[in-house]
Amino acid sequence: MEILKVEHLSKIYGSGNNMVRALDDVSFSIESGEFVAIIGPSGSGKSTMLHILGGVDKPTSGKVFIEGKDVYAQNQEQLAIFRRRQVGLIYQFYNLIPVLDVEENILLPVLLDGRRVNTERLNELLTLLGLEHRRKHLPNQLSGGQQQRVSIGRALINAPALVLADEPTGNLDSKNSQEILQLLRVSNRQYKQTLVVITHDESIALQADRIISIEDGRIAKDEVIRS
Amino acid sequence: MNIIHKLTLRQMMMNRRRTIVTILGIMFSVALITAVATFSNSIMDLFKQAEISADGEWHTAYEGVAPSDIQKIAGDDNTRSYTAIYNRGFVKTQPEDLRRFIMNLQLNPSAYGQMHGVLLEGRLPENPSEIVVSKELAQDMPEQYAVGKKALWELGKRQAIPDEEVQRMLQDGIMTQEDLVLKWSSSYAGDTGEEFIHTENTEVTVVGVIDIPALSKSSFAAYSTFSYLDMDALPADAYLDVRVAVKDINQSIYPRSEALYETLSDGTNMYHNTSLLLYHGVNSDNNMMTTIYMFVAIAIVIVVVASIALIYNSFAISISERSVNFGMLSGFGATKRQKRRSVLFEALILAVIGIPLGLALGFAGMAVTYTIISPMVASAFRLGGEGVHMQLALEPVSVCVAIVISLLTILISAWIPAVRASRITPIDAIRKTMDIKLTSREIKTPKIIRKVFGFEAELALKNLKRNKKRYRITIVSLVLSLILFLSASSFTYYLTNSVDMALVGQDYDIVNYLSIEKGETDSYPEQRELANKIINEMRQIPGIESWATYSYRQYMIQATEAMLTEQSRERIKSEMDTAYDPQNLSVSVQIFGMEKDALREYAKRVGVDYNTLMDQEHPKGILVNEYDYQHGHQIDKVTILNQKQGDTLMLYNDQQEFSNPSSQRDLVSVELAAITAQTPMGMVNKTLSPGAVDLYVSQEVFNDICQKLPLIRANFVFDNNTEEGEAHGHMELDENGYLAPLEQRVMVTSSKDREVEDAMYKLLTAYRGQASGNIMNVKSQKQTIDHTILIVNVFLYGFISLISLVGIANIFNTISTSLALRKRESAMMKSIGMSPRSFRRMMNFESLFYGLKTVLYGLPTGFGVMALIYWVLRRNLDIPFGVPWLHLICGVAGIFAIVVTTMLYSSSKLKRENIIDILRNENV
Repeated sequence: MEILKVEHLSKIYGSGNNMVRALDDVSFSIESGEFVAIIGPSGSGKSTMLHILGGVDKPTSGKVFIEGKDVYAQNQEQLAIFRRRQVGLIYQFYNLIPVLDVEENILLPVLLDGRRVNTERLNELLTLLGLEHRRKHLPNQLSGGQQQRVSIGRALINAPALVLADEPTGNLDSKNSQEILQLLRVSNRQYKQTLVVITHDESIALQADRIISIEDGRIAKDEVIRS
Repeated sequence: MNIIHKLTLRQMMMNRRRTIVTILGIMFSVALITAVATFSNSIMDLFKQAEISADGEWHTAYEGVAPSDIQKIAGDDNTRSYTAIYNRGFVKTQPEDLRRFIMNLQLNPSAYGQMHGVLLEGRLPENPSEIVVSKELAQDMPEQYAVGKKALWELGKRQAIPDEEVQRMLQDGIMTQEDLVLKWSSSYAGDTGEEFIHTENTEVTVVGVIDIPALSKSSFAAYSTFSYLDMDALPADAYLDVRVAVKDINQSIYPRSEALYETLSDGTNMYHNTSLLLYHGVNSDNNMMTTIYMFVAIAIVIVVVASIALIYNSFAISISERSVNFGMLSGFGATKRQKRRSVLFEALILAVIGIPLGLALGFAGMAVTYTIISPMVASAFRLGGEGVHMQLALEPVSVCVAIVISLLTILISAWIPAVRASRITPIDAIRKTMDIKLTSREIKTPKIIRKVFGFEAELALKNLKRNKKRYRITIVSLVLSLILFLSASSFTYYLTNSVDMALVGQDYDIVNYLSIEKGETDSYPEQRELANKIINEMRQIPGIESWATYSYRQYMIQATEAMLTEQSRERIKSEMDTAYDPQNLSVSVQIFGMEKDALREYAKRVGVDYNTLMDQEHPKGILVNEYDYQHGHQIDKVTILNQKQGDTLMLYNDQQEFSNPSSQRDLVSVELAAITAQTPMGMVNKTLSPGAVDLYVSQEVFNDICQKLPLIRANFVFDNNTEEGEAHGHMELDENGYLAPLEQRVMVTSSKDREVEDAMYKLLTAYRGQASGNIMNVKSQKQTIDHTILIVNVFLYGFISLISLVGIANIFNTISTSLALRKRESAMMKSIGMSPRSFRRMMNFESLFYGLKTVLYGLPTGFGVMALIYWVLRRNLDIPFGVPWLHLICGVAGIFAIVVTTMLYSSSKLKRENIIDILRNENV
């Protein structure tokens, strides 16, 4: 089943001489349960792509469909709700809320949604992430790897249609990087979680099912390496 | 400029908004300190001007100076200018004139300037036979004393008539005949107190008119005229009064004048102009000065505290923002000293810009304020005189004090942040551990918050708690503003209330308590006739808009216990010094005789047929039986008599029992046409001592009662002096049986109150010896009070608005910075799906919590301060405790307004920024 569809996506920053064409008429689609890596040199437009997919940045033209829904046809309020239900975002710098503990940080999208907390799901995630004993810790009491695991928990808690990760290991050492990647793969396998990871690390990309290479805002290569 | 200073400057430029807000805050603080510091100077200057305008510019006076000594005083090295006054003599005026004499003072040429005389017409005199006359004389006797007129004068001296004691002192040689001569500045000692002794005749020519209040006071018995002082022509036994303006106005005035005084002839007296010296700051041992200095000190302390809070906070923010920089600097080998200096340099820059701006703002603000309120100040302090203005008085000392205090404030505020900055190590900077050292306990929030208000509220509260220090500083600033505002409003509230209470029922502008006694053989009809004549003339005074007059006299009501209410019985029992006889009691009654029109209106109002009140055969009256009894701060309703409409009161004159205890009481009966709580125009049923009642009758009935119960004049007979020097004596009825004066109260309203007041005085002068009046201009008193309150308000609210501005600058800095620091977080929240509405909700809750916390601390403290103010004021003012609710609501609303505005402003900046840019940028 097609979960994500991108049609003629373009993003232009600035104007005149300063005009930068970050994305240039990009079209592709992703099947449910796929693990896709987007790679490319810095400035190639891969982050822009990720943000547009996640509904936090607007395209200049073109359309994004998630589960058949036109993402940018929604207003700000609907978009926010769409983000917290359908998209899980993982950042390079974790971006945890310093005043909330591990549990609360993970639950943030649920709490924002004002829904009842699914304790079973939370416990399951905490076990998966190896954070059972850190429930009540604040972010500044955690290591970098642990913090990134919290942010993965936050991305997964709502079982979103799509998890987007922006250089999730960019800030971690190789041991922690491996652990994080392991987690992402487990979630992909165990929960059939669709996963899009941006990276410039070839070794990480090689663990994905499919690699999309972007150069100068265009798809240079789109290859399925395992299925 | 070294690299660290350069870096500091760059940093300040980058945070331009905060730098500007901080400079504004400093500016307001400095302006306030300046204003407060120069305020006392300006007030002193005002009093100085008023004093000089009223009494001339002089510091030391020598009285009874021999002509040969004048040169010693004039030539003294501390004498800047002197006024020599020689009184050539007095001239009697006509009995109907306001003052009883005209005097001829000879002045040296410099006197006119020194006494602040203003020549209104003509020129100054050039020889002893030319005179300039005072404004007052020219006004009151325009025919005789216009410029160019000549006058033939029978000059003489006024001499006190010695009483027995003085006689004895004269015999014993303690006093000499010379001591009996009355000075030019003396008031009239009365027909039996002084005599006039003719000395010489002379002819004088009027050459000018001068306004010179210092030498023409209304307390003088004589109008002033001035002529040239010819030292060579003075008689051998002449003496002069000399007033000296000194060169150096400081403590040295005392020893130096003393030294001069030693060289003068015997019989000279010396004294100082203590009030003027006081306003110069010489001899500051005075209550008023202490009060002013205390006020200044308290105000400065408040300003300094608020300023330190602002500036300290601003630096604390700056340091935490620059912590990476400081860490880097120390990584490159910057010493602690260099880092500390960087912060102090920042402080210096802020000071260099903020202080001059603040000084300018303070001076300008005060100058404008003074100009605007100057006329009200003059009225409030009852200061008159030409050119008396409240103006900016710049004393170098106070300006320096203001600068030094401001500079110290800034440096003190910057010191702790500077020390903290110096401790930042490279590791701190890298780990960013300086600011965020959270523990779960610190940010624990009650579960109920989430349940009741939602997750956004919980987040909001956690956000506030995460930086306790800043949160606390913000709350303190807000609370301080609220408390100051509440104190000020309660202060003016009590002041206004007490004035309203004091003025209740005074629906007239001028009241004149007339006392009429035709002479020593008068009868009541004669008194009445005279009273009517005066009243009729008074009624003709132009400018009177409405009018009421009452004749009044006090009698007793013969009473039994049954006639009294329970309350009255108790009171009478407790007050009686003789045995309590239930069948033989008395209540005093004030009988008011009313004019026809007023009585008709009053009768209609209380529901009585006017005609029955005019029936002299069967006298009837309206009894006011309910009173507001004011004791201390409390007002109780009291009812005095237990009577009904149609009952009869028996009036008698208690004098009779004094003079002839065995005689039968003469009684007059008055039937009660109505019993009411209402009063006619200008009268109030408010009493300070309950027990007496008021009875209103027609003028005709009043006249009958007065004739049937004649009241004899009572004289005070002196017995002896107590040890404290108080006169002791008793009242004794006039031995010739002369009648007591007829008392008449006249109340008028007028928009030209001063003119009417003057006209009443003039009118009464013509009846000197037959009638006297005690005139009170209620309107001008009200005005004085209104102006006083207005001035208090201007300064109080001016002060509070400025100090609140300092506070707002602080709050603004704190809130906007803490929001800016949370930029990244907010962006992340939005990216994972926090909707704009949720975000707004969170911000609103943050504002709400700020406001609630402020109110939580501010209101109880504010109430405490209010109670304190009440407690202080109640010693001087009769007021009930109350709360100015409207101000309270305004204050609380203001607090929320400040917080919400700041929040909205700061978060609107956040909204404009792109989520992605913030998220991608590590250095936010």
